[in-house]
Amino acid sequence: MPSTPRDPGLPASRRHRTHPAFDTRRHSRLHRTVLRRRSGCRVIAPPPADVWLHAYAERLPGTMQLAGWLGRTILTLVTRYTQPGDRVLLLTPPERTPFAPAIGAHSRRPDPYIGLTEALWTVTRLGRGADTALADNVRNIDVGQERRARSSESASGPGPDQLAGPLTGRAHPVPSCVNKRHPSGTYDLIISVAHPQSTNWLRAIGWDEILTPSGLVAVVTHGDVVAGRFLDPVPDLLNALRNHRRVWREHIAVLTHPVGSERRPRRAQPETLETAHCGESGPAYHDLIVVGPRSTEPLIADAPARAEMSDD
Amino acid sequence: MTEPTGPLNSVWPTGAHTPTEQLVDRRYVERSRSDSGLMPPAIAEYAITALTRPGDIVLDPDCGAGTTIVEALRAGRHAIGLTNRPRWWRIARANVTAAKAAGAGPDGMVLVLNRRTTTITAAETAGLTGRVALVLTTLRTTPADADERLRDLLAEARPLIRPGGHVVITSRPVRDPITHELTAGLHHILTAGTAAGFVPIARCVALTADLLGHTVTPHPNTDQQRSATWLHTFSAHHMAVVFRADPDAVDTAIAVSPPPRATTRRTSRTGLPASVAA
Repeated sequence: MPSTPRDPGLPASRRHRTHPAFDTRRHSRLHRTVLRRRSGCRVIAPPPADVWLHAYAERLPGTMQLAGWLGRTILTLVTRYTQPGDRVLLLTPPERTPFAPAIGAHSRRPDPYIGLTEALWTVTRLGRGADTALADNVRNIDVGQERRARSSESASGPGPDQLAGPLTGRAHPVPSCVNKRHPSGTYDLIISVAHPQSTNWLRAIGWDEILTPSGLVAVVTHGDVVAGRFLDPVPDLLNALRNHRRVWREHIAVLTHPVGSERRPRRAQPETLETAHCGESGPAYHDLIVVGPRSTEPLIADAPARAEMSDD
Repeated sequence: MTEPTGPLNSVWPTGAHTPTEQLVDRRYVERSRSDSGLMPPAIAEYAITALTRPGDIVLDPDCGAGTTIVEALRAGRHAIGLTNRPRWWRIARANVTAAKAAGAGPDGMVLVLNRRTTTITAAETAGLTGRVALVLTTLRTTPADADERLRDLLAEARPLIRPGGHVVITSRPVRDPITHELTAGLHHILTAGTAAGFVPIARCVALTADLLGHTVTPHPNTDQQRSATWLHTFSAHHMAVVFRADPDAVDTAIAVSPPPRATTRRTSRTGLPASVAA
């Protein structure tokens, strides 16, 4: 990944997350991030939008099954909502999650979310502590109980690496400085996917136990058409993720197909309405739901950190 | 006029120009910009063209400045707009007058009524029961009463929709001004539409941003520019939820007949015979 020199605009004392009310630069009318490329030319990046066009995204290096658009989505989430040193968890749905293609004339479509864990290496290369886990392993563990059980076995108490073990299918080395910031094995960002006909497993996850107080949950899903009726997983997904601490922060449309250039639409034939959403190549867009703490604190990382590589 | 047909896309390329530019280009009256909840004309045009045929009737039960009505006329459809705000009633009427003066829908029928309990009766009296092909509106209500208000609107409009007709409700991202939490407008739409007896068949992304190459370039509006920080993303789309009325429902409508012709009898300001107008 090309590295972008940090913008030295903000003094060191203000590079940490501050309340926007005290940061006059953030209240500038146009709110543009100034990037300084290696050539020295100043490029003004567009503000982040709630539509991400990833139809042309290539596969991440080292991945085979992970779709290019999904890899790009993960990359954008990590660079936009975390900083180096943060911990990221890639959480895959339970193995028994049914994935049924749309009933109708379409042949069986491939799972659009296969290969989620292949993004682990890319996330690690960005300086984040990355882990993967299967939802089955996460929801059956009470992190607090685990902590108490280990502390009763050892007078010195559990170490962070030991706590990280049961939650991960594949634990990867995490810098010690990161462990100190996350002594309980919690994560700053959890990325997962949910098929439209299976969102109940999200309710069984103890999100409060595996998230930092400012942690975010980002779930990619999509609507589907079953027996002529649109199945919308977003309401159920929000019910599973939100509580008194976590609120709905973002609803981003991730476009996975090129958008038609015609400005004037064609009149839709009745028999094609039901099949418009999910064609044979999959949905034209996916819903990215971001749930985070009920707070007035900034959601997106500081502007210099945001200039890493996201161009959405 | 023969229009090309094809599948309904789930992503609508309706963001080439800002809503303000659209209002100017399409010659809406300037006061239309005061309607902060209006449906951008490009989105209205897209839905109308995709889901109706020339000569069909389009109804907006909460029309505001009347973009849905005007775009229906421009597309050769008949249009009905309802509003309970005299302010929007005047602006919508002005937009319709301007559109017809520019040559839109010379044979169109337009009714903009004060939205009281008798207006649906008036519409039924005018022979509109079971003849509306498309109900097109936007979610304007505050979160506190969104569900109930939208449910009332759809329930009142239900008898007017023909079997197999469609309902499209759009919503834009709305955030709490303090916590920046998104409100559940989508949930209100799905709940209200389903409760009114309609079947959701699609949820489409109606872009309000332009696509330049591989980048989405949003057009932040004034409110967003004033309050924007890096707290959250700029809005670049509206959601359009598409419902369908049961095509197998018993058709209790009056037999299909041509829309009533404009008469020379003196009418009230609302365009209806004085005995019918609210």
